Amino acid sequence: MRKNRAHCRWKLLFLLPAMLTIVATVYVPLVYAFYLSLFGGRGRKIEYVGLGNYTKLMSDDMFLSSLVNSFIFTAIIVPCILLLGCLLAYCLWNLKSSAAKRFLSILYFMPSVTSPVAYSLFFKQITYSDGIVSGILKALHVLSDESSLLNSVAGARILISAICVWSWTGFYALILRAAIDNINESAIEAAEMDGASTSKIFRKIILPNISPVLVMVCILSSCSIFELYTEVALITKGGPGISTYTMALYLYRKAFVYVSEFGYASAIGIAVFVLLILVCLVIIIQKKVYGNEK
Amino acid sequence: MIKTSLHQWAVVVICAVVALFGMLPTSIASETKDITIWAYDNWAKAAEKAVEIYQNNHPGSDYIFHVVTMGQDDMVQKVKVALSTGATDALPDIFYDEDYNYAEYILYYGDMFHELTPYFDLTKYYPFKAVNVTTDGAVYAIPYDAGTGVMFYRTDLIQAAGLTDEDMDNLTWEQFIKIGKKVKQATGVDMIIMCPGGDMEGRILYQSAGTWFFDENGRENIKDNQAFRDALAAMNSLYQAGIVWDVPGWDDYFAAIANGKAVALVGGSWWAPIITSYQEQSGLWRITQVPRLTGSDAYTNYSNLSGGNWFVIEKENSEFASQFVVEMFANNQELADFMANEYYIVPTNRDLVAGLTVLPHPFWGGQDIITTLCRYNESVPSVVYGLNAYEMTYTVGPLVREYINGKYTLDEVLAKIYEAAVMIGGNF
Repeated sequence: MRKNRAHCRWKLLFLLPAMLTIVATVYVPLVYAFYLSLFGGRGRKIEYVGLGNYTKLMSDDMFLSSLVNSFIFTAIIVPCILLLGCLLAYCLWNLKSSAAKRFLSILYFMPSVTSPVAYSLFFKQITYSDGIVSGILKALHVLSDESSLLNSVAGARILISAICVWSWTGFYALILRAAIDNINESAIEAAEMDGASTSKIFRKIILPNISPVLVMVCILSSCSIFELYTEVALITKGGPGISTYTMALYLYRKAFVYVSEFGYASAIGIAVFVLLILVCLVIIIQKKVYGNEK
Repeated sequence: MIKTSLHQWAVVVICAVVALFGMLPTSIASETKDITIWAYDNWAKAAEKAVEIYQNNHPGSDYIFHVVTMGQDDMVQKVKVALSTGATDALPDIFYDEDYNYAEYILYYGDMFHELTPYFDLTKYYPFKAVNVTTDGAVYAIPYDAGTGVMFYRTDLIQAAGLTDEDMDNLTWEQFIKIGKKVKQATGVDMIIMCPGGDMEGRILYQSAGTWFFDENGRENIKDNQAFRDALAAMNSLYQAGIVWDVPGWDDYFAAIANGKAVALVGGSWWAPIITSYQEQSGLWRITQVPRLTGSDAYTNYSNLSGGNWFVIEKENSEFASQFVVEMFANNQELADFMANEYYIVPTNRDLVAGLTVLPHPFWGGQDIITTLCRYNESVPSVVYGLNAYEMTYTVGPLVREYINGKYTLDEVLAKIYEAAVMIGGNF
């Protein structure tokens, strides 16, 4: 008993640095941001307004438009990541050569460790009006000679979505592959012996077994989309019009580009946080309901 | 085990001591005669040159200068965070920033800036610069450069359409459209590069008509404002005429210039060093006035797009820092000549303008663009940028884009801009 308690104390001691770091870098700023969001005004001329900033958000066209944009991006990006992630993970899992597996794993992972600034600038270069992508699209008559991919609402949204899918899918594919690795192989072997097709095995055995991980991928990628900043700030700056404007971009501008409204910017941050929790809850509840029905 | 612990403790203690000593120079530095200057782009070069000239002129000075060059966004972010938290120590002694941020700095953090009224004579400056560094009669920044609004154009393409440089002089937008159609017919090249989303052209047009988003009292200035209506209609008519090389963002201007996608661009004079970097186009470019709107005698061919000022933070060495910025950025002819000839950054102090020694610049085909810019500055209408210039820019730009795309009529877009101006804070 005594030994257990001492063991426990050691565990706590070792956990303490990590816990303190998380508290100092996540929870304290979060609480402070909420406190700050209760103050209106600009610069140091601020006053307590209670939930006034949140009320103002509800009628702020720019915030509401960026919210809609986030949902549009979620609707495009998350299904693509799930689909491609599963496909890549399954292909990787199915490979016989372990060298090929290692090579492809590194290849998949590379975009997610590439600096978003670097790849955003790269994609921007190739999608300029005279960039290679625009050139190909013009040659295929998808774009007219005088337009650019970034000049059209659909083009800009598709481009941002494609970049996010390219950047994030590999990472999620590796997580999904690890989930597939954990499936009891005898179930798959039994299905194969019964003559089940590959697609049937995938739908009936693999997908149900990795569904908790799929939910996690849904949640993580949705969170990333709601916090989307670098790609949009560097490539489209929210345009054309406000078609790719995101909440993170609006938050940044409210805090540091426009006349600083740190209270209002904090309210945007807290609103994003609450929205993310709601999105996560919806995904989790949906999964539970769906799971129970099954 | 004990030995290991002692060893670990020793490492911790050594690290702590090193860290403590590492911090010491900072605290000592704050008591020495160190002057830190923050600036970006070519204005950091101005700061470096100013330090060099100052040290040559004052060999016995014991002040140590640190010029820190950083990106504009990074610098503004650092300045705003430090100002909002009242952390003067985190700020430099001197920094350079655009006209549009002046009002925010002084209205919200005025006590953190050193007042410069007693140090120099503001009446020597162009009025359009002077009004934007003055708050309740006190001056809080040294006006430095103007972003003189001009039209840069390719003379070879104009000549290919049978026109001359004289034909580009003192135009209205209607005349410009006629020329644009003629040039496009002859060369197949669009007449002008534009990006309505960035509202760069818009801001130049508004000021050329002597108007701004807010009036001098900070009240919205959109409702029943004929100049705004005319400016937006003019931009739309350029698109309707089919002579615009439309770009989605700032960076696409570079590609358009490099590839000769358009004859002209309307922008601040700070485009000049960018254009001269395309040396293969040497001799092909000229500048002229911005075309003017029609419908009122108040509309002009002259405008401004930003430009900036030097600020002094109220701290230990602010007295010396003020004397330094006045001596260098307000009065030093050598620095003014250097910046004008190297970077086309022309002074806004008329005494320095009168004393400029202009070197030949073959890139502009013999045109003396430095003297021309100074001449244009004499006629730029004064508007008070006040607060919210950036927020209005980022809000109006997308609206204008949608107006040009046909989503809104002129009345609708003006109503939207009015709503934005009221919401953003002009109507108080």
